Amino acid sequence: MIMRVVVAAVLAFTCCAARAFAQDPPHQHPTSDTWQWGVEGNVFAGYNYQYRKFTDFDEVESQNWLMTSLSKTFGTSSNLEFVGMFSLEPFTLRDIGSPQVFQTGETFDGAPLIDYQHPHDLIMNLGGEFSRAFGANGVTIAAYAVGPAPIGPPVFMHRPSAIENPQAPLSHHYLDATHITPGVISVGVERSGFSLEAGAFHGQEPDEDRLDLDTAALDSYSVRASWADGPWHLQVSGADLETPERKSPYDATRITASASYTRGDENRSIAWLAAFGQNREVFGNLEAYLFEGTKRIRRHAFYTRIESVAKDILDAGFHPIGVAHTHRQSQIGALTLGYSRDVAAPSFGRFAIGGDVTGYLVPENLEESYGLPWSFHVFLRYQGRVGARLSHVH
Amino acid sequence: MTPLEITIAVGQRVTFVNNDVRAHDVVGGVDPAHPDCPEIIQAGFLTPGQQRETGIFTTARACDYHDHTALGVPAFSGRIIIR
Repeated sequence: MIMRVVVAAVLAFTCCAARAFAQDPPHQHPTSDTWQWGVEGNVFAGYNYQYRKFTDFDEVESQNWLMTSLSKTFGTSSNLEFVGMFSLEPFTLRDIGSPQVFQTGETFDGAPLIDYQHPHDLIMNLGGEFSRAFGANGVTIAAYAVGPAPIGPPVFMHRPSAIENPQAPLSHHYLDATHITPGVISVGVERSGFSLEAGAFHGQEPDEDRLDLDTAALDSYSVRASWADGPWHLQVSGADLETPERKSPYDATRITASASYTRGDENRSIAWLAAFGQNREVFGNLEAYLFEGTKRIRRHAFYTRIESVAKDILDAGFHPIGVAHTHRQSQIGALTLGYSRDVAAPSFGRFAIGGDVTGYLVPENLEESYGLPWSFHVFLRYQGRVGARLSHVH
Repeated sequence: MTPLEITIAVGQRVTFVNNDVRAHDVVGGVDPAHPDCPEIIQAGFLTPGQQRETGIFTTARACDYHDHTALGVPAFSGRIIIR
């Protein structure tokens, strides 16, 4: 526990970066005819308490990620960018993950995770993008050893509406969980704010080894159409996923739609996102609805997240081919209210203290096992940036 | 699961207690393709700290069970012998 705090503190104090503010709209590449680099860091270190019916859980832990980029503009119309994204969560969270009631997705010791958010891989993204303008049109080609497949809204770590919240959404594996995908190739075209992307990637979620770089065949496909104009960003997307769950022999289809609004500057801003995600599996269709928002007024940030997510916790085990059955679903509601306050803004970043409380609506079929759980977090948060602002906010 | 094998008398129940930090789901049979002993599924899904009884075993036999969340993990399967 102490080791995790120390690692988080070291990370926070060594990410020498300028004041950051992640309010960038997607797909705006920095332009420079010399190589430009950028580093952005975001570190939460704090206490997580989970009240349960039978056994409470608490943890001192850190969620964190570091984004790096190297980019160059060629002529007036071409841009090349290499990106890397890293996390020390394999060291700052327990191997099983961060306790979070009703959270699901990925595995631990060969069993599906229930009530835990898995640690993210040490190497979250590693790859590059080349974009070129042809008059009013733009074309982007991307290739990643590990990276984001073109489906869903930007992952919660990059969303201005979620930037103050250390907790992953319960809908993470319905919307944006493919942000760490081993092997991604995608092509996108853009005109007048409209863009259409298609990608091939490996559809299975990362393995339990958080330190390695997974390699696998490109066996899944997705398409995303989006529109961006000023503070608005809308997208609809769908993916055919080849055996997305480890040890489960069944494929799935994912459909998402989202609308977001981001406006303001470092001193006063508002950002929100509304999203819908559906996983179509042999066990049934599971749907998730999400709304989250952050309002900043100078040093004060207020954030919320509201979710309604269908989980199949009661039948979450794996099934051999031929014995699949419709899973019992549990429609879970969650409401998070949070606040953070900047306490220091030295030249290398911005420090804040904060906390949030989450309450849950528990469906009847989970009441006996869960009762009425709730949770809270208190944390120290660091955000910082040095160099060019990153465009990598897919 | 501890113990991996237990012997009881006809007419008794077995209480499953989850002392782990994660949820488990107790189901009768060696795997989902071979469901057996419906008394066991009454123990069912258990969150950490939760316990629940099986139904009453009314006939002498051997009942295998497995953890639906950890299929194929030997430590999470076992046998109830009813005499």
